[in-house]
Amino acid sequence: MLNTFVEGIPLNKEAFLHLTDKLLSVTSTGSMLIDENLKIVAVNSLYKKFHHLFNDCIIEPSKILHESDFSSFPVSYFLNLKNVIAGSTSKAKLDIEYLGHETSSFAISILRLDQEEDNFNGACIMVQRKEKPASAPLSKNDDFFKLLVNNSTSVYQLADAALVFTFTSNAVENILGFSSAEMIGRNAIELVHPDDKEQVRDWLIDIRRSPEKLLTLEYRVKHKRGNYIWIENNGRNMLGNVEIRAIVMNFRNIQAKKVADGTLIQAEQRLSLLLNNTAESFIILNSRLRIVTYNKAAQDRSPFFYNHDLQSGLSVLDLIGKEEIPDYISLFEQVFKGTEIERESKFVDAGHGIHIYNHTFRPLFDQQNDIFGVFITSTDVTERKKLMEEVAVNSDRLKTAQKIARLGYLECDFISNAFFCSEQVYGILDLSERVHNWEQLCIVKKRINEDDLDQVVTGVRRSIAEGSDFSFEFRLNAINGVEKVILAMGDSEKNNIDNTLKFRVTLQDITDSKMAMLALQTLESKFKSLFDHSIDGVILSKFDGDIISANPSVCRMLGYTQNEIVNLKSCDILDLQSPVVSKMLSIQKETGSYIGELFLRHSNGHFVPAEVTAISMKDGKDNPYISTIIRDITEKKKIESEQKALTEELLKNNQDLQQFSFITSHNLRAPVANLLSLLTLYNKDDPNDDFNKLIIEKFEEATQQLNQTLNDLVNILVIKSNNNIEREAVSLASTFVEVKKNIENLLSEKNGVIQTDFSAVDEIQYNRIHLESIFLNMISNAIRYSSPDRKLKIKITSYKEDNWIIVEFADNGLGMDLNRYGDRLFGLYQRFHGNKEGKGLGLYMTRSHVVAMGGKIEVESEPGKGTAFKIYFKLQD
Amino acid sequence: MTKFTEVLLVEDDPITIMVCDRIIKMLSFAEKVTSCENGKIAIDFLNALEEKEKMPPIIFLDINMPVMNGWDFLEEFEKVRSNFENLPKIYLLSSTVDPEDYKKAKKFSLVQDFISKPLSKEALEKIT
Repeated sequence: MLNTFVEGIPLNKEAFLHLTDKLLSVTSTGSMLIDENLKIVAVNSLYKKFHHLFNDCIIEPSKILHESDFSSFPVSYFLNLKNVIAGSTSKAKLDIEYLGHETSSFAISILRLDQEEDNFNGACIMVQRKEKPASAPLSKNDDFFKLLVNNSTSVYQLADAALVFTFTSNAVENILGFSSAEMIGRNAIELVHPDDKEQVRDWLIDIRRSPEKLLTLEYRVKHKRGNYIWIENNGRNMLGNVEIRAIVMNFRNIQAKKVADGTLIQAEQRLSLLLNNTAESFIILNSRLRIVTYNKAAQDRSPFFYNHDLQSGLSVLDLIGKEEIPDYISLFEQVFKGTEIERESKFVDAGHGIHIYNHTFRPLFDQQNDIFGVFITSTDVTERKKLMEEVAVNSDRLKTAQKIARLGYLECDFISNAFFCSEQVYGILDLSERVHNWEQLCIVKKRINEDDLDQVVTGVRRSIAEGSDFSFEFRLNAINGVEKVILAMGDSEKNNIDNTLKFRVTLQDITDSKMAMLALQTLESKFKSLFDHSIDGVILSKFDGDIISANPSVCRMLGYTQNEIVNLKSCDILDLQSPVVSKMLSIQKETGSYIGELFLRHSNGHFVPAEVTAISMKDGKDNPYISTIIRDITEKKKIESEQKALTEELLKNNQDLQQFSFITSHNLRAPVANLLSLLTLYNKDDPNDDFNKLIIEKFEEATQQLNQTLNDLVNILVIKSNNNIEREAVSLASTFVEVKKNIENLLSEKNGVIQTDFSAVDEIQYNRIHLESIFLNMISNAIRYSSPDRKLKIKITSYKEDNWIIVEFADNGLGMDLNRYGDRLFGLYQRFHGNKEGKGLGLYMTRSHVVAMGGKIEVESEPGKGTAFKIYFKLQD
Repeated sequence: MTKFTEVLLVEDDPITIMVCDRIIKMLSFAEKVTSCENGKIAIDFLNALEEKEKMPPIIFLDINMPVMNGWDFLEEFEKVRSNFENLPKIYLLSSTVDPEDYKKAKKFSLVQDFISKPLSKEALEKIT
């Protein structure tokens, strides 16, 4: 090898290299030897000088050349170098124009070195400054150039003076999606993003105005798909170059870089936006306490805090009142020692609202951990303060409420193991010592009533296991031995993965309310018992009349079952037609209560007399209802009616007696008066006076009259006294036979007939003498007052009616006007006929007999037709 | 000189009739005593008077009589009194002690007074 340089001189490698260096140092051609790995074997200063015109890289032996070392060279140089080394071509020649401040052209020859000996191969590069311009322009179908540009990742373009592309390398398809053929003929501005067009236009104008000058611009170009791609384009006006005569452009895809830059810018913008829009104000001071920067909030508040506008470069001490300076100096000293300091201050705003600010002074550290400034933040904490105060007040209130309500609260945090037990819990559970965890609390279990323990333990366990709510009551033996009743309500909190985080429970001593409830229940059960067992009926009904409930007494009284009666309405048992009921309902409506007597309808349709007390009431839910107490007064009514009858009878008897006494006194006085009158008329001076005879005669008559009257009265009194009248079974038929004997003559005188019928009843329990007297009186009256116009007929019949045996004496005699004489018919000494035989005693005596034996007497009569007397004998039990 | 021309005595008891008649005449109380034994007869008598002006100025009336008693007579007389120019003074002559009788008597304007049997000199002297 190296025959080209030193023919026929055998050399070792080191000697060769030394010789090469020498040779190269004296040659007038810039030369560089490289091996197959692009490693510089030898290089002379002329080459270095040439290379450095384009690139600042170090060109020394042993350096391995990279593409980057040729970055400002035309791409063809490096590619040719590589092609030669790879053996695709044995030599290459190119001309390179240096477009710096001195325009020079260089001819470069690259020669492949054969490798026949020592396995050495590589290339020799020789550079010679050319005096004349390079030969033909690149655009003229230069295969080599095309090879060069089409293998690059960058896109090379040539545009004519009208900025229309005449050539685009193939790499364009990778970046913009268009083929190189599709690009030819397009205007350089055509695919530019509308926003960037103006800038690109200016850039192109600059390029045209500045021949040979490399101008770079980043802008967006439309991809074939329609989206825009960021590119960095280097343009150079080579229109003046006779070989090129084009504007040369070389662009690459900087989309990724742009996106990254954009993110950073966005982040910066966001930060700036954030800082300038936050309510928190920031000021950064340098080590000399001068303001470096501040945000908008700080600027806005500065008149507030400092009475001065903020300005970069101002010392913060200039903003503070003089009196405050020493204080602040010591504060900053602390900060520069690395302490973070907080301050609070109050300011009154224009609207006289008080604002509280919290200022934080933080040291700023550099990378060496030295403090280079202060970072001041100020926050309006007025609302926060208020909230905190409110929270504190509410917390106090909650505590007070718990205290007043005697509500205890327990919380057990299973994650942090924190345990909270409010003051009230100690009182409720009678804990004498402080408890700090769940285990300590479990000491209470010993005092829980055995019957409730299971419920408590199960309830708590279930809540913790299932995260469920719970509520139960349990009895606890208090320290003083009295049993308490405690209401426990609580829950457990679980996280997403079913772990129990917290267990919470409230405790309340409900002993008093429980006792009250128990008392109420007892009272209720007593009332229930009273309701169920009361002799009086109780009905609860709605205002519309629906019966809500009725006690057994009501059911008994009215003949219903409990089920039947609750399906009734008040109107089913009340007689709404009755004026008493209407009155009751209206009084009840007006006054809310009613007490009175009325009739209630029994299920069998009969009416039951009842004493009713109705009161309007309201139940626990404020619903109105009527409570009615009913007393069956059937017996009372019966007794009342008996008493009334008795009273009436007594009254009548009394009247009878009074009448009797009037009449008797009258009838006694009459004969006595006669006797007295006769005495006064008696001529004592002449006993033989004729008139005296008449007086004596009348005297006798009057005395007998008096005697008869006295006898009558005695008889009447005997009957009326009704003492020990013997009763016996007396036959009506036999009595009649007996009596008829005495009146046979009278009857025949009147030519009368008597017809009897005792077939229905013949025997009665009565006094024989009385019965005979009654028969005698009745028959003799009929004979006495018989009609002269017809033959006397008397009919005597007996029959039963209800509780009576009735004996009827009917005649066809004179009859009488009962309207006129009815009330006096049975009176003593009442006479209605001029008949001398009657004294007005018979009917009176008969009635006295009958009444004395518990009976009664009725009469029917019509003048001219006859009379019928009905004598009622009480049927004996 | 007698006090009154005539006395009508409505009375069923013959002894009382006799005694009254005797006393009236003894004391010259009336020229004439007419007696009727019950109210019915008395009414018939009065209605039968030919000259209405001959109505007896005094009537002594018993209460308790058969057929028509004193009260019924008074009621009947009330019905016919308008037929008479001169109305009599009626005195109830009775042994009654019943207060009802005294009350009842007040209903009849012609009844002047009660005279308790026996008819006495004093009672007659009061009547003018």
